[in-house]
Amino acid sequence: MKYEKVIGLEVHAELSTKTKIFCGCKNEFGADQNTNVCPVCLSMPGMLPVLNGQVVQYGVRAGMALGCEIPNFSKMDRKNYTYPDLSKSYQISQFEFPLCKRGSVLIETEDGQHEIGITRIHIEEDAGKLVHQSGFSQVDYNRGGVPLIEIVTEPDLRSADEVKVFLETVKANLEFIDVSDCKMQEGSLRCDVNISVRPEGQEKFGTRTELKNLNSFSAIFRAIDYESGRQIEVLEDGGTVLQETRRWDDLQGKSYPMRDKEEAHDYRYFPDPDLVPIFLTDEEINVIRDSMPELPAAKKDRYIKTFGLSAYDASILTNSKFTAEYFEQCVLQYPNPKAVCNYIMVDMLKMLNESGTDPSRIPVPAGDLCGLLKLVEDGVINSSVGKQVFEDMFKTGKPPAQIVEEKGLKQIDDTQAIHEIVLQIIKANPKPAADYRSGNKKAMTFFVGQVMKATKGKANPKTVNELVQKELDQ
Amino acid sequence: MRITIEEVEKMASLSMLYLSDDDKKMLQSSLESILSHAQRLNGLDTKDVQPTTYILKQQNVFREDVPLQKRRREELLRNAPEQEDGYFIVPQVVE
Amino acid sequence: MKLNELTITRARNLLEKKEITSLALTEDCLKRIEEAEPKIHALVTVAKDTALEQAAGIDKKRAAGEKTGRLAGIPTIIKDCICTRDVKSTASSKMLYNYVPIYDAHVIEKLKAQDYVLVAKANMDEFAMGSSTENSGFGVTKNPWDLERVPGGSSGGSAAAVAADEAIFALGSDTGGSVRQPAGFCGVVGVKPTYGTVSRYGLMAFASSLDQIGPITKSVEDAAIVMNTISGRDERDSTSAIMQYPDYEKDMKKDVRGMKVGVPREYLEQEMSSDVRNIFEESIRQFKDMGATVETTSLPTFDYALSAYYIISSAEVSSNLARFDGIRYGYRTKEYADLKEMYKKTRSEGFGDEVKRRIMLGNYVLSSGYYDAYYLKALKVRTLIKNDFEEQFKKFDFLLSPVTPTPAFKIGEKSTPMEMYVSDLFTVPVNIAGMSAISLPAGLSDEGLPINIQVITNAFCENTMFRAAYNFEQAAGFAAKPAL
Repeated sequence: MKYEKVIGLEVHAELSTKTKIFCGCKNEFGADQNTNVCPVCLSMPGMLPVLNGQVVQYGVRAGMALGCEIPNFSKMDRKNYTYPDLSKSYQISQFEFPLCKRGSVLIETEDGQHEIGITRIHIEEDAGKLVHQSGFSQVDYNRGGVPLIEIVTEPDLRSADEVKVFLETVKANLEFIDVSDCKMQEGSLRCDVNISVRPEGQEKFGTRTELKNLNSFSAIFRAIDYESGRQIEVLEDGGTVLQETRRWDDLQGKSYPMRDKEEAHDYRYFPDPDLVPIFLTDEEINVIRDSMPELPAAKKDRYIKTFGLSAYDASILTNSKFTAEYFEQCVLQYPNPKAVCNYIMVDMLKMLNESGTDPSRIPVPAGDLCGLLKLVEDGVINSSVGKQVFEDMFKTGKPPAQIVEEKGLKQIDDTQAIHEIVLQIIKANPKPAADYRSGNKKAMTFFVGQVMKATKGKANPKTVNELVQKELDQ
Repeated sequence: MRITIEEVEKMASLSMLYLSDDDKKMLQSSLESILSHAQRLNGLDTKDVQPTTYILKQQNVFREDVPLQKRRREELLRNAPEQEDGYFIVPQVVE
Repeated sequence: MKLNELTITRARNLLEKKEITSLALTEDCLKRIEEAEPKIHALVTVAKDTALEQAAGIDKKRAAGEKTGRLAGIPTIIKDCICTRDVKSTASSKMLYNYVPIYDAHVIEKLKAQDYVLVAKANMDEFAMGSSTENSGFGVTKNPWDLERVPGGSSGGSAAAVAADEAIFALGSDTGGSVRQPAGFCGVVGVKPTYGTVSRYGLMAFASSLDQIGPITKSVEDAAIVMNTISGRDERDSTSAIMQYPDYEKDMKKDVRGMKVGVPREYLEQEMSSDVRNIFEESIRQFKDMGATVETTSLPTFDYALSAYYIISSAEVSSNLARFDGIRYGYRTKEYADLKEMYKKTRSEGFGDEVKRRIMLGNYVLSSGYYDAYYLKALKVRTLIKNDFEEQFKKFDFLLSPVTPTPAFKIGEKSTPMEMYVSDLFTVPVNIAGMSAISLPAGLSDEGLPINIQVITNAFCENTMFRAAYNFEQAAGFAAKPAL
């Protein structure tokens, strides 16, 4: 029997406001334990929350970017449960009236396009961090009170691949509108997965389990794979899948049922009486909408229509705010979008990946890349030397002209000099020459390669090709 | 208006309290009497009534996204029953 | 007259004229505390050294001709659930037996700005839950008028201290009557301001949608003076009213001729001691004599306020007290094998019975399955009660009622929770409806116990309230003092 996976996500993204959601502590990653805390986020007696207006703005922008409706009215509720990293023993969140509702995100995988429904997005506060030692735990409340948006999707996802594309799309959108830096490794983007399986063709949903502790994209895929397999096995053995929360152990590659947090299930939600409602007029909502930057999907379309890029290329470029911005900056100075795109897609991304650099930190100024492209266009260097120069630019930060000068990489155009080398190479390699003359035209590449090698790659490739051909054809 | 001992135990669990068997019985009876008294609210027809979730009419009370003056960590940890190295210390949490 | 027996008005006058010093005033209060405390136990902490220091400092400022605040050098007692920086604040709970806040409540900042002198922190019912101060984790306070009786609660210590002249005035907090009822039992003035008027920043929360800090004073004028100091917008409290705050002393001394007074019949229909009834009826006559028109009226939802109050306040407090977990401050149990045991033992040992009862009740009414039937229902009833009061204030300038059905009862007399809760019957509707009210002395019972009346005004209409109260106070001429 073939089974289908049915997946819904709960994505938490930390908003990149300057301060926490309910107090004036700095919202910053990596500070020493308990140095970004105050009586309010330590929940000392008599302390009260006051909502950071910027959080509401960012939340609304996130909702708009993900196609949501923004209701006029929303409010904060208390979610009551006890855990040491939750200093009030309740989390201020939104239950009944979230900030955003009913959105959707269009994703594209090799199986085609699929619209993923967003049930709701709400704002809430993060909890602190627990560091487990042997026999005791340490609590750091720096993260307690950091503003989060929680994005809940409909159970519309059908594969780990779709989840990947969905998360990348969400990340790109949130980056574009500057509300979150979405770094999974820093915990500013987190994802819980709700997954069930059902026989292909069946409409009724199977029982779902919730997977927690997924700390990287690859962990998410491994977990989906494992859990769907586990559920299918249970069903094939004639058993029933239990509705439960399971913890993913990436080292073991397995999911385990979480300790019974039975009390935690009754969150006793009620409106927080220390806060007042949020009411956004239609006008205020429109002002926010008008201030939204171009979103990835629209940008991608524009790149296809205006710059003639392929859908694939446009999609890669618009996957990150930083590569898109970089691309646009370059095109302004060097109006050959395809050439620019090529360099970014092939050379830049390769270097970024190899060096583990985030696109937000591209070390090559746009002007320098444009300078390089011009050098190649003008024939000062050839295109494969260009790629070398680019690597150098990336590693050293030096401008292209300087590197070309310092390393003497200018293209050799002296036809006579090249001719001499061609003659030498042909003379030194009688067998491949004979191959060519007896009909194996492909042997020409050997000679071209040898000439390029002899000139340290700097010979004008067009000239080399012409001269090699001329000499061999004799 | 009856409350079972199981319900009392469930409430004690949510409240993070230990209750002796005597405590449980006493709470059971006092909660029953308080809630019985509260039954009178059913005498009021509230079908079309909006709840008073907020007593004041104000909305949109927001803070500016501006960091405030920090306090010293020693001061903030001063009242902690157990602290070390700038952390609050709690007994082992079993995941 | 001993200096500690002065009112704010009188003391200020003498201080400004340099006829007395703050130091002398403070010393007299401290002497009185030494004398009275073994009998009434109204206080948790006495800040003797710092009080004398503060007083001496104010005297120096005054001598040097520097500007001093409106309450300069006035010895004050603060209820122990209001956070005072560097001075132990316990809410009379073992859970906070050693808690020293690193911040002042907003009201304390305001009092400090006016150069007040902090003399002591007052005993109370633990975390403000109670009507007699018998729920204090540190022993009950005795009523100065009769040491076998309660001073009321939860601000019992504050009221007893003011009645015993241990200070010039005090601050209490009122959620269902916790300022007005003890003021009544102790024969002093107590105000519950309109919700939102006084910031709750630094007030250890009981019921967030009902709590208000209020003055407990020896005169109505003193109460208005204190209100002018402690009220005002605070950005750190989202429920602090955004509005133009009035001068609470304004028009206070105008007469009440032509004012319309309502007496809800539902109050009159309640069981009350004959003393209370007689004194109340006498006060109605007083208002008539002063030229006000008094009419019987009706608050049909009166009967439902107490139940709504218990549900709403317990729900809120069950959540507000969840933060007491032995991790960041306060009590932690000595022996525990794991986290859960630490939580449960800490809370079971740190909290008293009444607190536990209300936390349990609160969790019950919020739990899934019961939320609609209890909590949501109570919030809807709250709307009806609020509407009822608002209707009344279309016709009347203020309402008049007794504060409690009886004068102070004996320690240990109320043996069940319900019995205790019912003593809040007359005060609770005001908090539920979000109105303001003042409790002020009207007479003595046959046994010589004070009996107060309650003036209730519409939200944000305290000026009317002070005016009515001031006139009544002048006419009634209550001047009795406990023979402590």
